[in-house]
Amino acid sequence: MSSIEFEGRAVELKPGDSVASALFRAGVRIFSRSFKFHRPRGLYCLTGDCPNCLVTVDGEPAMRACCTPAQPGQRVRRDMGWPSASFDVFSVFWLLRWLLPVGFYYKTFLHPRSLWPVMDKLIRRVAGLGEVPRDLPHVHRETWHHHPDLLVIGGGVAGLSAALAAAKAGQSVVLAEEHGFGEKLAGGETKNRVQSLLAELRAQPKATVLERAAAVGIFEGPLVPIDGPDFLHYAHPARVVVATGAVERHAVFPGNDLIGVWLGRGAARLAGAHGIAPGARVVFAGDTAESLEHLTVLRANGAQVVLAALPASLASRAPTGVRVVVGGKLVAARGRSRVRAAVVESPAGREAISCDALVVSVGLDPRDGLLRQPVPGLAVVGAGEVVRPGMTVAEAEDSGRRAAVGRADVTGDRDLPGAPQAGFVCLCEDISAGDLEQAWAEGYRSTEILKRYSTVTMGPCQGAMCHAHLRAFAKAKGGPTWTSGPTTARPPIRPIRLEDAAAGLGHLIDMRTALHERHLAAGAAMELAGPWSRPQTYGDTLAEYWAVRRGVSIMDVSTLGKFLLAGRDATEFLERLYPCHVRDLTEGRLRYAIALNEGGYVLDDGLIGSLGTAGYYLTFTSSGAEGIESWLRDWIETWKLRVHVVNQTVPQGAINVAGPRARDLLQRLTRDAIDNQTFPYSRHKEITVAGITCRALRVGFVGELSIELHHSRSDSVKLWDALLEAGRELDIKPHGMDALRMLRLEKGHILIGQDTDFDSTPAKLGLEFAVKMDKPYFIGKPALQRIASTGMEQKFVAVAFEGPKAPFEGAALMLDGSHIGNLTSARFSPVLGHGIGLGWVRRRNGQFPTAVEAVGVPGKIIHGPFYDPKGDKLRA
Amino acid sequence: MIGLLRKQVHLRTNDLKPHYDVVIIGGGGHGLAAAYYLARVHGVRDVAVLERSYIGAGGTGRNTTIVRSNYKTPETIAFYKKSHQMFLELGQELDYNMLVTPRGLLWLAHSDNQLRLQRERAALNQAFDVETVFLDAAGVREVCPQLDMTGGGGKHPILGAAWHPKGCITRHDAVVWGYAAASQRLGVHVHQGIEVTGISTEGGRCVGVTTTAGPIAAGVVMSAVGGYVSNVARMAKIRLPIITHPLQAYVTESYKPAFDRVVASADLHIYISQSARGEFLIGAEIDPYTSYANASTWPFIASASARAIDLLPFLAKLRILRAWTGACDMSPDYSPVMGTTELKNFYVSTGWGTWGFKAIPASGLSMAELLATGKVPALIAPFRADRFRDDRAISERASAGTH
Repeated sequence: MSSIEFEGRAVELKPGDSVASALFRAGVRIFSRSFKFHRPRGLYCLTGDCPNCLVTVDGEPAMRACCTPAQPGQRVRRDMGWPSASFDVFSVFWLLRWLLPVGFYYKTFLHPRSLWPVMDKLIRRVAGLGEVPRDLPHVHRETWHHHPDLLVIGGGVAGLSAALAAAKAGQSVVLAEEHGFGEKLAGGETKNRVQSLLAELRAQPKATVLERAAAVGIFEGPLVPIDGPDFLHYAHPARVVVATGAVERHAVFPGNDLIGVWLGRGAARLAGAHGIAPGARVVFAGDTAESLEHLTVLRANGAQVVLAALPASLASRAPTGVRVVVGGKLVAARGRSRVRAAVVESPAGREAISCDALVVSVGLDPRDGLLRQPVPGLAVVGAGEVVRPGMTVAEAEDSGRRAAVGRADVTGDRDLPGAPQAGFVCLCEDISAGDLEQAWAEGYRSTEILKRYSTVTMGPCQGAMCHAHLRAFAKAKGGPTWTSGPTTARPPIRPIRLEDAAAGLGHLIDMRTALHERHLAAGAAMELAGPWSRPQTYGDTLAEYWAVRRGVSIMDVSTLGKFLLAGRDATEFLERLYPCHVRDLTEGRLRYAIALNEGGYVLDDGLIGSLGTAGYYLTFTSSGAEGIESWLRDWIETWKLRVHVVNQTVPQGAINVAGPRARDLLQRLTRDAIDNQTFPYSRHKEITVAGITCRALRVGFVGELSIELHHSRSDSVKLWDALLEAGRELDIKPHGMDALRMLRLEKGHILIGQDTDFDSTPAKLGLEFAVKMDKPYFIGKPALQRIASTGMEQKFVAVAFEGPKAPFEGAALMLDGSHIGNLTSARFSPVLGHGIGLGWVRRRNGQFPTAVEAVGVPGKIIHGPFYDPKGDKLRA
Repeated sequence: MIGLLRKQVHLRTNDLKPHYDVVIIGGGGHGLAAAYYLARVHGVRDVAVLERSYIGAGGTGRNTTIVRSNYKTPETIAFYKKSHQMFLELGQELDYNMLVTPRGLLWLAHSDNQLRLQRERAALNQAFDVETVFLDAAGVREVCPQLDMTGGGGKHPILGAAWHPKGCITRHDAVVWGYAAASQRLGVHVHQGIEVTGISTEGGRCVGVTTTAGPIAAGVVMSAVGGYVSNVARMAKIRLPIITHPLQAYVTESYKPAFDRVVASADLHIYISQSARGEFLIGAEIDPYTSYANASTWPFIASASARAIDLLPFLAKLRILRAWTGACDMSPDYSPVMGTTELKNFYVSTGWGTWGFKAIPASGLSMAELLATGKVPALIAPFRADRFRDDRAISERASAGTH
């Protein structure tokens, strides 16, 4: 015999059991404790709409027991209550409810000031529906995409009929049913029709049927994520039919939360689908057309119906042998935690009938959250009870067929229940009709504000039970229309786990240059720069540094942004784009360039190389590369110029050969002329190195002779190996980012993003040389003209610190003990023997400082680079 | 406790008058706070706050409720520090518990660049007497042991953080209701369901507004409409340096207390806290496009979830209950825009982007002083709307969810 474990004891299972039905059969009546007053709560709706049966299943809290199929071996416990849900000390809150009125925490705990932090801890401990599951493994899921002609959400009669009609008409169809097909039905004609329609639909070649797959919402795209047992399905439909049916209306009357009070469809399901009577003595109060069916199902499964209060329209057709009170009105349920009696009022008077179950049907509300999330450009129509609750099977089938061809049934204004008088309006948050009255009296006078103040509709049911009552309450108060309008329906329609929502995401994006394995083999510690991995150091940063300054070194700079530009308007485009001149750049020349935004602020920097008639070769920083491409394309489109952009960042590798002996090294591997006369600083040319065609760029970021070799990525390893091999006699060492940061800092070169801010103008950075204000136009020129006369409040400076200690990067720069700026870069300079840094200073009394202090280290503000200020070395 | 037994009326319905000394457009935190301080500090009680929907319908009711002062420029630190201090006493001041609870805020760094920025932030905060300290990875683990220091298996390793122990979370709606109730007690009118349809001018100065309930004359008019400020500016025929982006957030179902901190990550653009109700509140960066649509998007829900799990793996099984979206009035430098405009007697409090909620008390106090005296208080002088024209941006790299 299969069983599940419930709080330490075995509970037997029968075929078709849900966790709820198995526990109920085993005698469990208290399924949960309520959020605020810890009231005992039992099964109520059995359709997954109310919060009463939230339990922990296999360590996962807040699972709806009624919609969780029972699986042998499951471990189930109740979420709330101490020491247990059956006997809960915190239920004393109900007795103290006069101390805990709606919004009580807004009105108290203010004095003394130390009280609130204590109360906060207490309230937190008592609140909360379940323990956070800590030991369950994170399941990484993937997405599965569907592009159907029609997506049908809901697998009842209307939904199946819509899907079948579309499939028969040759359309591709996806149908998603949140639970098991027919699972929520008591039986009878509806269930039979569901089974036969389903069988027909499954036989259709172009129909995909998803079971236990809940649509989460309808989003722009269009995109309907569907949370299935296997995948997070992504449906991108041309049309959507919503057939999510109706939820039985929560009945608000005194005692309505007692255990043993059932909604009609819930009681009928327990009896019809699971063969369990909700009670031995049942009082039945039904107003809906299907009430008679419920009555029959209940009696057929062993419930003794001691009284049925029915409207005259139904009373004549009531089964014989039941005492019927025609026009009887349910007034209250009595009992302490379980219902003991129902009070029914009729023209004959008021009477209390003892019972252990009270089944109530007061109406149906469409489960129309998905219909209230309109997505522009997507046709979404309703079918079945979501349009008009209370349909017959035949009507629902018709409605589905109409929806399949895009014809929505006409919906009237949603009928609201009568204003709640007494009883719990909101089961999730324990909000009574009296609480709403009080909040209204305090001035919270619209549905939206009542919701936020009382938290009604904000619990696990997200308003399924209480939203209509909230509106009815506000409407009865007679304020302006907006005060009783519906509150906004917010996704997700059904709660979804974070890990399920994250399906298909969260993969590690790890971009590697072609030399990645070489770096690892050389013992490099890698660092991340955006998605790129780059060598930080090969172990001895200082040795790497000295190799550049005194000998020769290579660095993998493949992550630099690299672009080819061509087309009729390429020159014109770059003239407008850059603040420097471009037209005068003859073939083979390179120019340092900064990129500005419209505000005149520096975006990025890099090089422009002219390729003559072939166009231009542009470089940008590694971190800028990704954004720069869209920036380039935006401006090309804006100006409607004929320019072609080819992003070479990934396909082109680049290796920088740097150091006084760089030329020595290259001459061993090339026959092309690279002497200082034919190939001076600031030039580029195509050369062949170790048999590999390279574009060589004479640049100067590290302050020594250096030649960047840009080449096809597929040749990177061969080139790297050849350079290392040929350089062995020169004691070559590759260098990483750490050494590079020291080298560039000694030259005073900025790192975009590290040294610059959003409002860094060329003037503040000391980069005026890269801006030619005599040009007719460039991006940012109007802004720079405008601010030319306003003067600078902040300026970027170089600081030479006393002594070998460099302050940390980010340190505050102080003058006479108060803040005057901040240090953006700082390192010890081996070649100079003291600390150096770059940073921002502000004016004080109109003057920029000439000396500052950072973490106690005094420093002087200097002009020009720290190292080789005239640039002789890089021009050597 | 006595407060519970006393019959209370917090919010009142006022009859609309044809003239007010001051009309404030927008019944969010900023508008209501300005009205309150006008009445409380300056004795200006003939004030109307006009709200087209319900009070708190905009950004004040759609944020992640964080109050902090660990900003990145001297100007913003001074301003937010004042606001943070005011928040700590606001409940007593307004006789309304805002549930202000210090949780401590960790600003995580996953890259060298962010490490440096968080160090810089701590140093700058300390220079201006704001308690922020830099923590290395071991220090982070100590303050918040639940964090996955590998950031989801090496995707976003946690290298350090700026720790701001006085960072608070609050109940955002309570700030709206508290200011509304307290200002109404002092005679301020709060009108809901009335939309401003035009700004009336005479001889180059603002003389009132037209509304769906008729014209209202006013001595001075202030806009505090958050994300919709461009529409109001258009009515006033002025241009503001503001564009509007959506910002999204969601909460999970309610769970027992499991997480006491507020965790933010600049690299991952995400912040996470657990409310007093037990819901986990997760927010992310602004959407990359301008829009007034208040619709939640799936890419946000999905990617915020993935990032949240990378930082706090125990979140994986929690269930998302409700997502929402707000409209953010973004300024070019991520700092607010407060003060006078080209139109005389028309003032703005805007540019609140993703940082407006925590600024409500200081902004209200300062704008009230400006409206009452006509003089710009020193605290907000740097935030003038025309600062961009002469390159006096207040570049704020410590705003949340922006860059």
